Amino acid sequence: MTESKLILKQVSAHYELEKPVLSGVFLEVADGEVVALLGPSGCGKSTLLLLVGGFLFPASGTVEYQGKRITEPDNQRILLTQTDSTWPWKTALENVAYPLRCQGLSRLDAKTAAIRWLNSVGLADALSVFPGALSGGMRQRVGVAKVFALRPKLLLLDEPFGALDEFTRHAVNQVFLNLWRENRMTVVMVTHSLNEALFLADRMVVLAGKPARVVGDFRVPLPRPAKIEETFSPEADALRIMVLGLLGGSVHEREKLNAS
Amino acid sequence: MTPLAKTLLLRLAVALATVFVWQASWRLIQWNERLFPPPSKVFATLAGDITSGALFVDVWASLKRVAIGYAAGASLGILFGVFTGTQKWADAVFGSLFQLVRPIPPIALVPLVIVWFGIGETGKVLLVIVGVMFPVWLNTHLGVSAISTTHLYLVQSLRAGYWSQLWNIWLPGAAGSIAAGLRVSVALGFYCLIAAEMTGALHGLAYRIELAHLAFRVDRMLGHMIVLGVLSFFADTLTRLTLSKLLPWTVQPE
Repeated sequence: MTESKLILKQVSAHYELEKPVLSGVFLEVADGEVVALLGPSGCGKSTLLLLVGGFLFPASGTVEYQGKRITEPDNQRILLTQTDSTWPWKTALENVAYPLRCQGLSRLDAKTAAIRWLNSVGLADALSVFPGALSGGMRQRVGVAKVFALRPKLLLLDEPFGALDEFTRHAVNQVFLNLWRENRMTVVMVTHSLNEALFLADRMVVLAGKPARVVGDFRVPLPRPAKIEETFSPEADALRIMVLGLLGGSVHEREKLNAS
Repeated sequence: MTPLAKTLLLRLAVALATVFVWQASWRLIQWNERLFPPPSKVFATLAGDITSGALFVDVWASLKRVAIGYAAGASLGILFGVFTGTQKWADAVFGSLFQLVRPIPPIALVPLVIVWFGIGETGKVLLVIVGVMFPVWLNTHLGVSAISTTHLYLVQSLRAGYWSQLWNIWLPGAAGSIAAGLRVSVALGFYCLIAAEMTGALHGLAYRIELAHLAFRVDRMLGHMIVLGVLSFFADTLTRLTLSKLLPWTVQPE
């Protein structure tokens, strides 16, 4: 077995007492592994990312990274949030460059790197545009460029490509894979797309229930990195059906709960 | 024609029409000229004050007070607002204090200011500062507190220094709200100026209005009021244009 670097043990979390979001979550993520988190919306996937980021603390259980308990945010663990991932008061270029400046890069180096990353996500023409004037998908790509440029050891992505159209999404997926090939960082990624999970991830972890726990943990049966054709193989389809079964089951459970 | 020129032209037309209606109705009704002077009389008096140079002395005296007071009050307001918005201890000390003092209308301080500072410049500028500082402080404080936590995650991870965060996140993040405070405070600055000058001064527009009142010169009172209105309007326009230049990602409504 590979050495585990991120370990969640028996983790429970809540925002309001009596309303636990996560309960007894156990998850191990090896160094350099890409894990896709799936589950019905509102089930606690984002909460799990906040716990690993160090922005929220478990009510019980432990979250450890590289053998140390996570007690605060750190520049090795970078979170890309689902919304508000860009600062409205900074241009696209400044949005990507400022975090690099905080990492100690010179003004020029930060600018050069920011231009390169914005270029790679197809935003070369939007450098001096404020996020308010960009479309939702373009804003999301600025956010992606921002966290990719930092090259963290552990990348936490909350539906990073959700607002992108199919074609842009595929292009940005490639950018992600290139970055991963270079850096081999650990990734925990919330996604609602099974295709994306099959294409990008090593493992698919399914969360469900109220409070949520891990109800399925599958190794993606494809070579890494996968070719897009391979995500339509019989093995991939078998996994699709399994995961959909789990997610569908949780919908039934909810309906039963609502009915009672 | 630019939209700005169009608006200005429209405004001017409305102003001229108002003056025309005023003059025409005065001719029709022939009210007491001293009580309800026609615009011709008001503007003749104003022209006299301009040629004698008296108006400029008053305008300069008033503008100086309001400009110094506004600059100082706004700076203090922003400074304290960022402090109380980001530091718990600062909110506990200054925030609570300001919330107690803020509801007192600055005009109520006029007698006290005269007792302490006499009728010199210090007291007047101080009143403007008080009038401007609290609304700017409150808007800055609220703006800083309202920055979404999501916008802060990355800075927390990067552990950016306090001043870097202040300059790159807190201040620009609150800028929309601060700008609203700065806009409102222009008019408030003029309010306090008037209150301060009316109770005693050697020069100043409101002081002149008060003197004209004692001499029963309604024409001069009206003329100087018009000058005050025009000055306040231009001050607001200047503030708005400066803010939209400084904060290109915000919209500065009129």
